[in-house]
Amino acid sequence: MKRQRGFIIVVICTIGLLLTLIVVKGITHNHFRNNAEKWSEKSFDRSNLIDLKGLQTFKADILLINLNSKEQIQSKNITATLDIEPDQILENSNFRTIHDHKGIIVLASDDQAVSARIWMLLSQMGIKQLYIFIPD
Amino acid sequence: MRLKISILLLLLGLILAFMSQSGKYSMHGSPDLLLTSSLDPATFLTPDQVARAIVNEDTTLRIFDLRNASEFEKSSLPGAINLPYAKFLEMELRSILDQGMKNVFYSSDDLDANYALVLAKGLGFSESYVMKGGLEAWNNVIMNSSFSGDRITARENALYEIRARAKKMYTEINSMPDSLKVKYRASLEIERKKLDGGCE
Repeated sequence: MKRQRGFIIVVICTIGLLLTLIVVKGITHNHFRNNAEKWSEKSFDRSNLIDLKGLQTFKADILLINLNSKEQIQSKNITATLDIEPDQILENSNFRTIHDHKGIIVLASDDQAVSARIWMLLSQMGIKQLYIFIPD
Repeated sequence: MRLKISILLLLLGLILAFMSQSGKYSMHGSPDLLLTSSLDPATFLTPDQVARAIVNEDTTLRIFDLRNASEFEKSSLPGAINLPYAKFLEMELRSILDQGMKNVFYSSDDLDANYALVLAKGLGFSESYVMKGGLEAWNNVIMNSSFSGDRITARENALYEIRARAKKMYTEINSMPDSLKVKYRASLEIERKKLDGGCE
């Protein structure tokens, strides 16, 4: 009888501990995705860069995010353009547009450093199909 | 009864294992703060600022060359440490970057160093900077530096003096035979360890 009670206490404690860990893990909200390496791997082999020729080959809809680029990027599959300052990229309406877009997202800026920084930030937040436009 | 409990424990364990599945590094903090700090113009250093740090042997700053090892062996900024971007997140960054110093990244162009900057800041290494324009800018500003004109102000003179000294240091170090380059880098590493309070 005593042995069984001890067993039940151990089981209850273990279940309690596991449930606590699950709840803590679940409610700890992080805006960034786990595994930074996975979400930045396209930058390692530079498969996140796209030029005008590459843009034409995409069949999916393209959302062009114009971060102060003076270059006029013309492609028949650009279905939407967002003209914003780089520091406005996370404003609710802008981020919602980016997050909800089903297709390719292309960042264009005259300053590649700015495009690179925004690309990494958005990628780590889980935005997929994200490219940096590289002029020819 | 015992079987049911065992299955329950197993399921809970699996859920926990699945939830905690992540890579070596994950960014944390507020995306808005990261965006603000990443777009801060102060995170960009000019080649002239980097040249001044090299010439003055500034010990509050560490320069990281993000190109691959073979490119680094051919030529690099004096005192730079090779940290290939492709292996950036495979490294033990805490022992490399978190030294209470400014970490300055550069690559051949403007991409890798800026990816690395956001990663470093997102992982908590707030003292991260980029040499704007990378080696291309270094070559244009420092290596191809020349003055044309009749008069030179004291300020311009100081600037060209620094550039000339940085150019000389760069040329001397990169024209060394490979064996001497290895010795030079090893001696720098020993100096760094001494400054960090470690042993040789």
